Amino acid sequence: MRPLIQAHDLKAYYVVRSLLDEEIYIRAVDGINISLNNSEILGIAGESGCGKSSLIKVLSGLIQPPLKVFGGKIIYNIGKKSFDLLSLDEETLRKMRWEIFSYIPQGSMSVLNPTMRIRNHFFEIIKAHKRDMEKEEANKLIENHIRELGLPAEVLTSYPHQLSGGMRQRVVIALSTILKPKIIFADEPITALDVITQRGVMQMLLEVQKKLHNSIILVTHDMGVHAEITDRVAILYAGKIVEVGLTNDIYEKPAHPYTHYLLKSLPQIGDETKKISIEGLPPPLDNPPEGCRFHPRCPLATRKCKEEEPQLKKIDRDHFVACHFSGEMR
Amino acid sequence: MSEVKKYLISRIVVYFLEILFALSLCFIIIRVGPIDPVLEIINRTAAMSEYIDPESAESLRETLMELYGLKGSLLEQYEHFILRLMKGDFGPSYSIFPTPVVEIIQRALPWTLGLLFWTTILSWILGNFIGGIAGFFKERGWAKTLAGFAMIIYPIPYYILALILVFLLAYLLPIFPLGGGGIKYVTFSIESFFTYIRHAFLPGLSLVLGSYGWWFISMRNLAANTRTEDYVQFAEYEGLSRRVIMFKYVLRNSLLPQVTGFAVALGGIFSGALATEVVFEYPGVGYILYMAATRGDFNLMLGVLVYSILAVATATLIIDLIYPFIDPRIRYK
Amino acid sequence: MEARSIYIKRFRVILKRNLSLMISFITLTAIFILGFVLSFFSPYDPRRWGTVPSDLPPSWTYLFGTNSLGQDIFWLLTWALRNSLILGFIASLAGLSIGIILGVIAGYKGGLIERIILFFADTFIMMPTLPILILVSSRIKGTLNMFILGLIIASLTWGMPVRNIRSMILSLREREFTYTALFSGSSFIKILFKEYFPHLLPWILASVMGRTLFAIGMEVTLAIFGLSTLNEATLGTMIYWANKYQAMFRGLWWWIGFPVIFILILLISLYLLSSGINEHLNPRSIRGQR
Repeated sequence: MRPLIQAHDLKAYYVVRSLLDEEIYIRAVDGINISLNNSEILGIAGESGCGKSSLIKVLSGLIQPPLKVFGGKIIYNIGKKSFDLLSLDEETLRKMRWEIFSYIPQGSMSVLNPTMRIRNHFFEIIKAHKRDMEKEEANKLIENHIRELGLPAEVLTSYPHQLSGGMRQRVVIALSTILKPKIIFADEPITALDVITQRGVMQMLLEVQKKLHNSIILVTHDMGVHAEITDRVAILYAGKIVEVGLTNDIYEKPAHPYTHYLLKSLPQIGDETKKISIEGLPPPLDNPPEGCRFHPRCPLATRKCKEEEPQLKKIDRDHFVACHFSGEMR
Repeated sequence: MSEVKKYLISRIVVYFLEILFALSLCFIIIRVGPIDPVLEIINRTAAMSEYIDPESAESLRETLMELYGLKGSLLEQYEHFILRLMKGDFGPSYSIFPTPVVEIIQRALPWTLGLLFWTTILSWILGNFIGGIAGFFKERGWAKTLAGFAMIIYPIPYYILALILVFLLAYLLPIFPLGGGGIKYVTFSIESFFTYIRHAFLPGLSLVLGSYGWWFISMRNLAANTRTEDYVQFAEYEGLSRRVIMFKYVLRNSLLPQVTGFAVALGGIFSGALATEVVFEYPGVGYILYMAATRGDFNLMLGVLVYSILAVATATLIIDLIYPFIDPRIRYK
Repeated sequence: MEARSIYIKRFRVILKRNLSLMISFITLTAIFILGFVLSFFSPYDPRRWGTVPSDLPPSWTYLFGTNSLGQDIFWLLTWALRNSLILGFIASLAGLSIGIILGVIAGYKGGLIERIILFFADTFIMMPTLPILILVSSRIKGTLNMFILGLIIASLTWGMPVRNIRSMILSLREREFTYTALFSGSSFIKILFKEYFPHLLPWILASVMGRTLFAIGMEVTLAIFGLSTLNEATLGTMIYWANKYQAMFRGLWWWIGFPVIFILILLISLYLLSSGINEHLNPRSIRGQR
């Protein structure tokens, strides 16, 4: 089965001018190979500033200045059709949005139009993509959708500011799924919420995936969330994938030193050992370290790590890691 | 809704307080100055070689003293003054003696208000609409050209703009008449309507151009900023058409602050209208003011000032009262 | 010291990239030289009439021609520029100072004090400046000069800065660095000058220029009503006298033309410069976002 999305050697940088008018490239996505399969939830994990949000934006075609693609392909395999997302023109891309794939942005506090009622938010989406649908039909579609997702009917007549943060997030998820897209890109959908609401939203995402049989790419730095929902997870560091594989494998047999530390920072009931965090900070993306980007913070670093950049190597059925010592970190 | 009611009531109270304060300022202004206003008027009359015999001079002095409320203690004078103004009694115009000031102003006011009404609405709509679209497409060439045009027009004072227009369109190319409202006897005929248009066109054009600049520039900035808001980006993610995003997302949200901005700009627009009338000899309040200024007619000047304050304050009040009902964030709390 | 040199370097970068900013900077410098340097070399006293033959069109002897009062228009203009600029700056700076102080107090103290300050500021914002100026100038006719007129305009226009500064202070107050500074023991005044000032500076600079622009325009407008400082030469009074003597109708285009042209150049350059400062020195735009 061909994967839904396959990205080859994807490079995208932010082009920024310094105070003194020099051009600086922030290498947020620097040579990424990643694929998304049918009916799966793929997680993208990593610290803040590692390029997760940028990656997901590029994968979903949301490339706006100062972000610019500098190389690579993003192949979409939808039904019988195959195309490179980066080669599409604006209008084709616009038509595909929300029907083929949708996007749940970070911080949905403010993604709703303050002067429009929620029902009209839905109407505009339907009008933009299914022009010929009658108003009656559209209304029914909206009301059913809301009910199925467990949202109260009063939400439709409200203005965004009348809803709580958690409710707004759920509305955004409802908006993203109304046209039943095959792929959903979710960028930190629950980070800004309290723990209880987080649970509810996570449940909603899972149910959506089960009902629609689609795929979700979920970006979050919260390793607990990845453990709970995702089928596969990719670990990102400084714009590069350092490890990717089945969630179970990654959590039980982490191969990359960075993954190891990410997991060790998760608290577990009954475990009273002191939690260690890695020394240092994530590297600046405009000037990443030579060789393996993790080497300044890695306890296993050798001279080879400083000189040669490790490539993703297969160490198990569906488990890849980019490290010169793959498999040795236990 | 009770919060809205509280706001409305307090706003109305503030309205009356503001007017009271402004009138008190007028009182102080009248008192200020090295010259006794009454004496100055009498001297001025004598200088204009209108013969005043001693008895008339004395009774004139008495009347003026009373009118200016210069009798009695300061507090009594103040009370007297405020009460007088509340009744709308500004005394007689000195330059068109003895016509009451109120009459003169009331004859001229409809001209000014009529002109103001249409020009402000037109310039607000044009400026916001064009400026909004230019702000949405900020980087395009035509948008930048439009912006350049607005940025050149905006700093020009209303009066200079009027002068330039008169020069271009009434002197160089004599399309329009050089002065007057044109109608001494208002008859409701097509002819007088067209005469009015011919005479009101240039001042109207001048006012529209003068105010257009500010609306364009502020709306352009607002629209360009709104464009970067999260909800506009999300609308783009949703694949909504550009037209929908421009109108229902950017413009609709940018117009809200422009409504409040309108209230703030009213004072300046009003002053601009007064100055413009002078250039075109348009028989409105501005021209009256000009006449009063050149003849030292204090009563008339004061009357115009008070009416101006009232006009601007009331218009501001109306806008402030309407605003909660058009912003859904305030209306549904 | 380091911060200042970065500002200077950035200033040069901005000038090079932005054509309108550069042009307005140059024209303003030229006008300043005319007004504050050349005017001191003027061979004629601007207050005196009949120093040169009247009604002569521009020539090499009389660069901008002469008017019906027997004055050389070029040298008159240098004085007019100087006086108008002085008046503009006084009105601008005095009003701005009051506005900033009251705005900071309102933003910082809040509560009843804020409400009172806002009430008065709003009342002054609302008052139409022209009729008031006319009434006041009428009353003190004859004793009016640049300085006094500037102060009067300042006393009428201090309202807007109060609102602007207050809202800026309010949003700055909520930012994290305020709390950090407060908790580490800095007094508010210290925070005001050390932390807030760089954020307020672009606005203040732009505001000074914008207000000067407005004050000069106000003076010109006041002059038609015959109520400016008719003895001194200002841009407004030049136009007043030109109108009084029907310059336009009599074909003496240079008498009214040159003041108008210079008014246009001065005001437009001031505006472009202030708008450019706002756009480029804004801390947000320094991060390189379009």
